[in-house]
Amino acid sequence: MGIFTKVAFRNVTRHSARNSIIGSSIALAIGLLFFILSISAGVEKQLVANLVQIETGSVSFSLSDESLEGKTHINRSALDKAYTLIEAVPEISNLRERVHTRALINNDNKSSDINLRGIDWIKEKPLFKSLRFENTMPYDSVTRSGVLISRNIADKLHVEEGDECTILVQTVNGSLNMDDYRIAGIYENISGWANTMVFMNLEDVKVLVNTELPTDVLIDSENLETTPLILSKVNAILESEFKDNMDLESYEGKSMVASTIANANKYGFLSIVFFLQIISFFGIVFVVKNNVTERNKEIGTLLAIGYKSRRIRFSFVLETLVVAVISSLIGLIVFGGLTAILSVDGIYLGDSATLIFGSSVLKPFFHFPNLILAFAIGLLYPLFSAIWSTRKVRKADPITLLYDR
Amino acid sequence: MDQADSSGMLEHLDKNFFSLDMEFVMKMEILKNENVKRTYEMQVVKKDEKMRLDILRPSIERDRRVLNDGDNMWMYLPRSSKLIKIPYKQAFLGGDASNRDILRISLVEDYEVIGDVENVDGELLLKLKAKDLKTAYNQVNFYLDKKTKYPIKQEMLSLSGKVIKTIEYVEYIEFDQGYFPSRVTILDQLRKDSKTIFTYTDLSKGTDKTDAFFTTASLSK
Repeated sequence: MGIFTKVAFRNVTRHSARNSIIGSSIALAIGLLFFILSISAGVEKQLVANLVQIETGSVSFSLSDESLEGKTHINRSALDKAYTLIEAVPEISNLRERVHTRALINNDNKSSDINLRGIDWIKEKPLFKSLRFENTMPYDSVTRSGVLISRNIADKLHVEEGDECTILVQTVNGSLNMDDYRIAGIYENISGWANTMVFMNLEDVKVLVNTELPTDVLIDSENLETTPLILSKVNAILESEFKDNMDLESYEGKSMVASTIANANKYGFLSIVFFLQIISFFGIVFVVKNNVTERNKEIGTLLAIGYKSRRIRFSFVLETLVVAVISSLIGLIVFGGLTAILSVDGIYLGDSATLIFGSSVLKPFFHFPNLILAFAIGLLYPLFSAIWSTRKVRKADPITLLYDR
Repeated sequence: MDQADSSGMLEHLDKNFFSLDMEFVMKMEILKNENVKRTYEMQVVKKDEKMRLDILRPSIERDRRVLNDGDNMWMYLPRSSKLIKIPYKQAFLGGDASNRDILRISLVEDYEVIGDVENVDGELLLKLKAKDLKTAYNQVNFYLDKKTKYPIKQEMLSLSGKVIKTIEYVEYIEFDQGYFPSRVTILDQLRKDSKTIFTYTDLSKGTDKTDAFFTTASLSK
């Protein structure tokens, strides 16, 4: 190790006060950069996750009206045969039958239009985890002809858990059907579109809309990136089994609202990141330049005793780089830890947050490439600052520097 | 009364009240908590399996026309000169009656009698069941006056047998050597604080309107 490398490392501790200020600036700038990028990724991921869990699966197919009315060859056994083939696809982790229908929910003259979702509660356990219930998890209640509604609908109808409500639907054939149900659970509002969802036991909804078949079949995968592959494999199975009687779509095809909100949020967060980076950049350049200027006498002494300017610059750049590495790591450990903790349950921001983020819970997502990006920026700014701040050392007069006040 | 009497009663209802060729002026009042929220007045013409309504009042809705041509229901919007197909189950002009409730031509076409006529609290109960599941109300219960056999009340039931709407025939007037309901109230069981009242005036039997009057092309003229 050369003498200037040793000097650089020793200067890190010798000028601890100055380096602490530089380090704090870098740690804060880099940590915040990573945190905001994590929130941005989290909002997008959560919107997609909610959509996939609540409404679309990775891939879904729906039956035509003719099939539901029994006018095609699609029946229970044909569908079960197709399920066997679909479930044999290795990328597929779960297959959920659903009955999706528009309906009217009513209690004592108060009505609301809803999206009724008949769900197989055993296969939909992950859904129960993504909904936050005001009281206990209502697994058993759902099987006993109960409905799960959002706080939003509960307020509209002036009902609470245990109260009765009436649901009016149009059956698959066209006639109207109506029945009374108990409110088995109220979930905290998720987002504008998801708050209209009313969940009910699949078999009860089938009776209500007078069908033995599901209206929609949701197919899940462990990894959303396998969606195109699943789409093509399921398409091949349905093509051979059902020809044109199925409407197959991936979650991306059904995520118009989620994509729009996610994009709006992404650009919003990127603007914050952009302004934060401008401030961080000039802040870091200023403190590093100040550090170099305040140590003019030290540079003058080194030049006076015959050391080359290149080596002196190297010493300053290396010192700044060491401070940058340490402070970037500290910033990323602190804000990375905060991100990891908050990514478990998220931050509950209240219902009004759904208008901005599409969700009342803000859950950051720990994305490794963001960590690398933040770390790289954490080295780049100080490195540039040190090189730029020491550029005049080459032509500097040691006597002037020694007399610098 | 036996099944034959029940079927005869359905035909009597259909012939004298539902599928009668006639012209009349219908006033429709939509009430919430007993306060009138909106009022419409329209000229109605019924002929064979067709029916047409021309809105007369309020003036802002004047010339809006609704047609049941026997196959579909249409609404003509004069301001935009647009003709739109309207669904059977949609609320008619925002009231408690559906388009189908208002524009129904024949009971016999959609329903058949189930069981015998029953005696319930001094009234006759005639139960009808939809011929297929496409019909909005799977079952209709008619409560008839024991003496005159005129309807007093009509219940529209869902597939599960729950009452969705109730139509009350409140007043009758003399018409064509008999009587015809002049005031009818529709109550939606899901919105008990609201109701729609229909008042019929200027009734005349038959119509001189030609078949062309009941075509979509004529709606814009």
